[in-house]
Amino acid sequence: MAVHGEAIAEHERGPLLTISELRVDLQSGARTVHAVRGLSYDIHPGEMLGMVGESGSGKSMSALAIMGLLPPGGQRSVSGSISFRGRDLLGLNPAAMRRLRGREIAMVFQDPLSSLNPVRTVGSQIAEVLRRQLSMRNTAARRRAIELMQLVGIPDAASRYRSYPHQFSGGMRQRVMIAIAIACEPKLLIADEPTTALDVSVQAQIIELFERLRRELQMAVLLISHDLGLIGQIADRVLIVYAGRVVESGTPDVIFTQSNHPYTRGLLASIPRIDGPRRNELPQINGAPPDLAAEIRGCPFAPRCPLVEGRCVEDPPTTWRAPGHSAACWATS
Amino acid sequence: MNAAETADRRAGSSERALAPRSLLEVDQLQVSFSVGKQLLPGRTQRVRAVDGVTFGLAPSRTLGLVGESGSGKTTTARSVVGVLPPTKGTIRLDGKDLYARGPGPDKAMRRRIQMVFQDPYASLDPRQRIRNIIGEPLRLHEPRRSDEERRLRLVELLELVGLDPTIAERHPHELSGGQRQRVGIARALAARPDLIVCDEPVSSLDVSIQAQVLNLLKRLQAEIRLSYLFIAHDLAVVHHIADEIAVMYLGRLVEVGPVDDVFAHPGHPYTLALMSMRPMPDRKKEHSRERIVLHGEIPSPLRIPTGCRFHTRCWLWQRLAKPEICRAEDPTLSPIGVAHSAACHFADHLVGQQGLGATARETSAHDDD
Repeated sequence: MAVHGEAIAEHERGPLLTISELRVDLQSGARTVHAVRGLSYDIHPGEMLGMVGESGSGKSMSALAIMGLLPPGGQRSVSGSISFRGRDLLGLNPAAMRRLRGREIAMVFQDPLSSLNPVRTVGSQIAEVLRRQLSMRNTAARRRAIELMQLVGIPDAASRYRSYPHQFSGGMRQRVMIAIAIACEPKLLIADEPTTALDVSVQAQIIELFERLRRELQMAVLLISHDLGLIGQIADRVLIVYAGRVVESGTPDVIFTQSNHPYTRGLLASIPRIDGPRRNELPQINGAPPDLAAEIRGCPFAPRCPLVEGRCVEDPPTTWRAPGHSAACWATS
Repeated sequence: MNAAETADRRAGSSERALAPRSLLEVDQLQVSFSVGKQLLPGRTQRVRAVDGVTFGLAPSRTLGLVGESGSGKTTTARSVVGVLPPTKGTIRLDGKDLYARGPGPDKAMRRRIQMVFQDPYASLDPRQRIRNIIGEPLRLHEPRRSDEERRLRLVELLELVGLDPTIAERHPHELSGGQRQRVGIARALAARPDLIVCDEPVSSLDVSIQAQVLNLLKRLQAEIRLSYLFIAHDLAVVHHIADEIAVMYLGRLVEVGPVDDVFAHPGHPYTLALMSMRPMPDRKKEHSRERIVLHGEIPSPLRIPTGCRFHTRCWLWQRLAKPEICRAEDPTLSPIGVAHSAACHFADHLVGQQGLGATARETSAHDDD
């Protein structure tokens, strides 16, 4: 027993989630799409981890892999490992994964309208999760659902319990999705572009909500976004993802002031700023991210990189590490 | 393309605030819709999506139109491109009323105002080759040209927007998001417009592609005589591309002025809040500035607050202990600087509030180089 207790304490101190060398290949007709190409990172309990990348960088696909929501069966192949509180999620059977999903790991998507059932009231959709996952009785589930609606900042929660999704604005629907996600007080909340479709004012409110929930519920949050400003503002640590791999990681201060990867630097330089002088031309990264089906031999960023040299095209760069900072680049290592 | 453009561009940054000669003049624009139970007369309600908006746009200039969803910016844009007749007020292009002859502008006038949309995937016909997508406005607006002339023009347009001419034979799904948006721009340019209304043209693009498209739009403006009415919710994008900015709230213009002035000294609490809510990557600056989070959402146009429309969400009103005037009197857009106006009873209280310090350009003048 004592040994068992120590083992739990041990992994409670370590990362909550460890992903190593995750690869996801999807079959799309005759093409094999390499959605994730060897992604490794971890999340600690209570941490707000920001993941930045462009479309096709594998950020959403890796989130779906954690949730066990990749397209089924023969169309895909997954390798590597995803370890959550000591358990390998890739080896779990569907029933065990269903129990874990919602209760320990939950996810919020970009588009709340397509994630909610349009013909059921928002309140009943929150209560359903409580009944199914936590076996709550009807009245208790209803009471808790109203509390959750209050917690995520929906005014008049008791009367809006019976509203339908179309009667809610985009920001309010996203709050409903967050209420559903946190209903079971998960250890890890994955938020995939949760504010992208929303106005700045609503975005700021949702971000305040995430910060508050993380404090109050001690959740770890994996926040996926293409918005560097947003990530820099609230993340404890930032991962920059390109072509299915982490190319740089570090604290926001390090990433935004001492980045060591030409892709990160290029991204930062290319965003228009309101806090600096206006420029006639934005420094731009030329070209486009690599085709998902392409086999990549060297560094995936090499064709667009201003610092490209011979070996970048030949060999994949090794990851250079310092405390609180790592980068995968030949030129700057 | 025309000798006059050079003169216009020479008009220098100090005088651009005076907006020399307007290409586009929007005067007291009002657009209403009927909502509610249409079959029961008497139950219908009129909603004013745009309620008395006035602004001008000079040749080769960019006006950025910002505001939350529900502010009326897209409705304004639709009236400007000629597809939504105003309920009241006028829209003039070179002094000619767009809606003088009924429901919309004639073909010659329509040619001069084109549009670039937010989602290049949804706005290009998936079954057409790029050649046909760009070719259609060419056939429509220049019907007398020979096939060979049209082919050359197509190649010219593709090169102008930085696309390889071989792309002409492809379909939209074979292109990346950035390439599709370039096709959307080429299609708008095919009509040889004077004004392009850009509705969130970069917000669905990836970060590394946004800069490419913004640079392209700026380069085109310098090369061809083009004005942009640029709608965006991202203030940083507007700050980068626009000469003037107009901020809308619930169908009204609450602030308008030269971009540098407005960003340095915002005259409306709504503008200041929008600026402060935009997350900035720089943590030190982020922590040193005050973040004003607007609570609630833009009210329904069916229930417009009394007095100043913004007072229900106004942080300044709260801070000033809710002065009665804001609830009772609708503020008018009044000058607070050179070509800079704001509609706030307490605009002078914002003087001490710093904007974002973006007072100088990297280059000294507003030369289009």
